[in-house]
Amino acid sequence: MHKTRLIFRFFVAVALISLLTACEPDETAGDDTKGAPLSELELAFVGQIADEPLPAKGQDIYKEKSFGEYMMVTNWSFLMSNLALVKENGDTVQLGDGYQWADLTGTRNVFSYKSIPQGKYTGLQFTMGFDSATNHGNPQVWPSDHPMNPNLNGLHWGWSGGYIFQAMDGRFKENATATAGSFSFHTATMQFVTRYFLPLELNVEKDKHRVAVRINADRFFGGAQSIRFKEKSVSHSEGEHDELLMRVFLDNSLYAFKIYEE
Amino acid sequence: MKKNLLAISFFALILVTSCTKEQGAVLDTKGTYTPKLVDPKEVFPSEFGMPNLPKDNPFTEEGILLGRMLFYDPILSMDSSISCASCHRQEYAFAEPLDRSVGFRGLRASRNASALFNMAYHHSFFWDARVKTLRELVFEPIQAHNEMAMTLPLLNDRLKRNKMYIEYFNKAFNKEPNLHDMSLALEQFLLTLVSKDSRFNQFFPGDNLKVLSASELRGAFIFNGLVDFDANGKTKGSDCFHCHGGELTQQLNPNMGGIASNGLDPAPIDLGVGGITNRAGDMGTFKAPSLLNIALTAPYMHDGRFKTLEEVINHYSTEVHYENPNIHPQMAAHGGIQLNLSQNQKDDLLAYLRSMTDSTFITNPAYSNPFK
Repeated sequence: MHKTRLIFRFFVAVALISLLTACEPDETAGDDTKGAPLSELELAFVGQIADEPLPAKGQDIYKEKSFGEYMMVTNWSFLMSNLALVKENGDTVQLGDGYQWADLTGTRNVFSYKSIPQGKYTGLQFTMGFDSATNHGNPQVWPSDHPMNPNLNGLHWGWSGGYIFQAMDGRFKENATATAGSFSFHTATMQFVTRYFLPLELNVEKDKHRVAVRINADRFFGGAQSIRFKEKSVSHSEGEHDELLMRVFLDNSLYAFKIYEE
Repeated sequence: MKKNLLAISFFALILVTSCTKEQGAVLDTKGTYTPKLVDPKEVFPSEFGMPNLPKDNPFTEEGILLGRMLFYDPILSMDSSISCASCHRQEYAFAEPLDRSVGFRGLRASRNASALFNMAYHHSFFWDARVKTLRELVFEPIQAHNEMAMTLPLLNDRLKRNKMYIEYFNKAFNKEPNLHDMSLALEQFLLTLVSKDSRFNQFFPGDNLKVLSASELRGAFIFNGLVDFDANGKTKGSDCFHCHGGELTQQLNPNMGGIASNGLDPAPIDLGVGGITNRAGDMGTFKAPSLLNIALTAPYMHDGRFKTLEEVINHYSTEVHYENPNIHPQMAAHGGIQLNLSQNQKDDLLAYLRSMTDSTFITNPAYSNPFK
């Protein structure tokens, strides 16, 4: 009898554990949204120069930026963590596992999240960069198709450890007819982890919503302190010269993002 | 006594069954083979991470062996004189010491034969990145008039009439020989070519300094852009790692340097990727190769123009054509200043590149000619 009771308790325990495991919070659900109807969110990151889409890859088209210089972006991608929608009360609804890799000059810039609790949202937040443990941890722990996998995103330094959070490379001309030069800005190291909050009025109530984040490359170089490529065309976040320039680049970037529901 | 006999018989049965499984494909009573699956974790080192493998072509012992047989078999060429291994020789990390390979009737290939390893991590193949999968890739050299010059109907017929391949296709795929399964078998074999045991790989990502000599270590610093060459802060080491970084010494993201022009010429001569896409910005760009085993794979570049690694280093030191309109921005953004490496720096860089040779890869019997 005693043995039977033990076996019964064992099975009850297993059943409870199974139930608890099965009921792990949905990856996108916040605490007070349990049971709320779910919608799909399509989130697009779109690269622009002067509010116009980037020319198609491989096209030799330059667009004007500050100082009368012209620029063309050949490579632009960035890694995000803590990617989430922000609700009216400040709670967040994480999108996927919170990590994403947007490749604005490639083909990976539109993401679908299928379990968004319906309700009102006031913004989108994300961090370009990661906590130190993630940044300096073994990058090969990420599955082959995960945005953080370095063999997929090509945004890991390897040698000095850590990820490149954002890479923007391209060509520039001092004026419309000048010979082209190159620019390269790579954001990395913990001091340049940057958090973005994009205000948005989004009432999720339909089956599907689409939100686009439009990012102007020229704004990274034009702001309170503009960057003239002729004088400063490279920062890889290392050394005194690089660090000062990267700070200007990132300060300007805060004004480069616009978000719309489409 | 009877009980003992029964127990012995039972264990004997288990032994026989397990031995059969160890030996490979199991033939059931209906005449169907069950190929023995190979766990990818046994193939790929954890330091490299798990690649994104084709889900419809799982590794099997029989599939890999069949692919290896086909790789070394000259019957894949029109006159049965050239195999894949003719131009991709194991002792040269599956490259060969010719600027351009000699194919059918002495015709020359259009570009230098690439080394073959760690391809499971690649997202595209060939110098111009025109093919996305290995199963597609294998049909190109087989049919190229200046390589193996084979026609697919003839190849299909040859395989179907070959007793050895009838048996091995059956074991691997439970089918008679056919071109689709031929490409899958070759894909399996090519995916399993893994080079991971160089001293560089023991050193990377820089934790195990004792593995390298002082000269090699200085070379590592130059390679990774950790040495300043210019007082104005514009030039920072050689920055080789942007296109040849990580454990694989190869950038796999095409936009981040995985496909690039390295300023070989003032203007594109061979159109490279641009010849496929017809886009101005792609003209004269090529897939950046891995530098693992680089000391074994001379001559260098897509056209084999550099006979030695010293010539390659000289190119990057003083001969880069920064005026090339499509030179990669990560090379040219430093203002187009030549590196002007000293002879000592060149020697150190060379020593570091030589530490990337994996001698176990080029002697691994699993990759060798199965007909010998």
